[in-house]
Amino acid sequence: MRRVTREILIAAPPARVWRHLVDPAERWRWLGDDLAPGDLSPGAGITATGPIGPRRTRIDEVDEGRSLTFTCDEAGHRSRVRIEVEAAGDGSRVRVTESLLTGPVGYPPPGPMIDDRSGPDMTASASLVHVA
Amino acid sequence: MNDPVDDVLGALADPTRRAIVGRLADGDTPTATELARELPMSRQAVAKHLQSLRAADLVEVERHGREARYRLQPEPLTAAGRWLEDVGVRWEQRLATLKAAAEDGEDGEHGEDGGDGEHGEHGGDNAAATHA
Repeated sequence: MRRVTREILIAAPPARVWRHLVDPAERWRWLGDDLAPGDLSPGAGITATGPIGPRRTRIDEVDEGRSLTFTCDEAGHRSRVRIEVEAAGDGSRVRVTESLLTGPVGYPPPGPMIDDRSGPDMTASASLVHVA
Repeated sequence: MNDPVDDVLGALADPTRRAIVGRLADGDTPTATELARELPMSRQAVAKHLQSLRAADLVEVERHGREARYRLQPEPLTAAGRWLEDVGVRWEQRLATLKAAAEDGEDGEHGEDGGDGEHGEHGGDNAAATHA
């Protein structure tokens, strides 16, 4: 009930679609500043200015080539987003699931947030390898 | 502690409560007894469901002497629906952008998918929507 799912079929191989997720420039084209700048790695985060206030995002989990999970806090709502990429016929299927999480408002501090000002952290990319 | 959107969606998870909300949607202000006469259930059952709807601020009571009349409060409903809709629309737009970019991916980055350079037409390539 508190979950929104959208999926799309893309006539491109999963590896290429995945690159649009991990490559910072490609990612920006479709996700804007909703995800961390630079390489994605668990714990990386970004605080962006949304239409209704600050929007804080943190990467939870990266399953190379398959899925990416991150958590967003915005205007007192916290939601978790999972983006999955899989082969479908000659192309790929991308499925996004955004779940509104219950619980008290506030951000858990399991690690430092990367602020806009600090810029991309290119050193913390051990968990991800660029496809290209 | 509870998220208002959660409360609303929880209250509406029950088909009987949805029926009551539907009955009140035209602005009518029936009593619990009147509702019980129209719905296949006891006055006690209706009163219990009305209590849940009141807890989620979906229904308010107007007292006229000994008589309690129930009125729909649509605002929380709109907020919950708006969240689901906003999130869904946002992802549809993003996925469409991703699709366009990935299918337009003849950007000179070859070899990432084992030489499968062709990308044929894909059936049913529109975003599919599911609210779970």
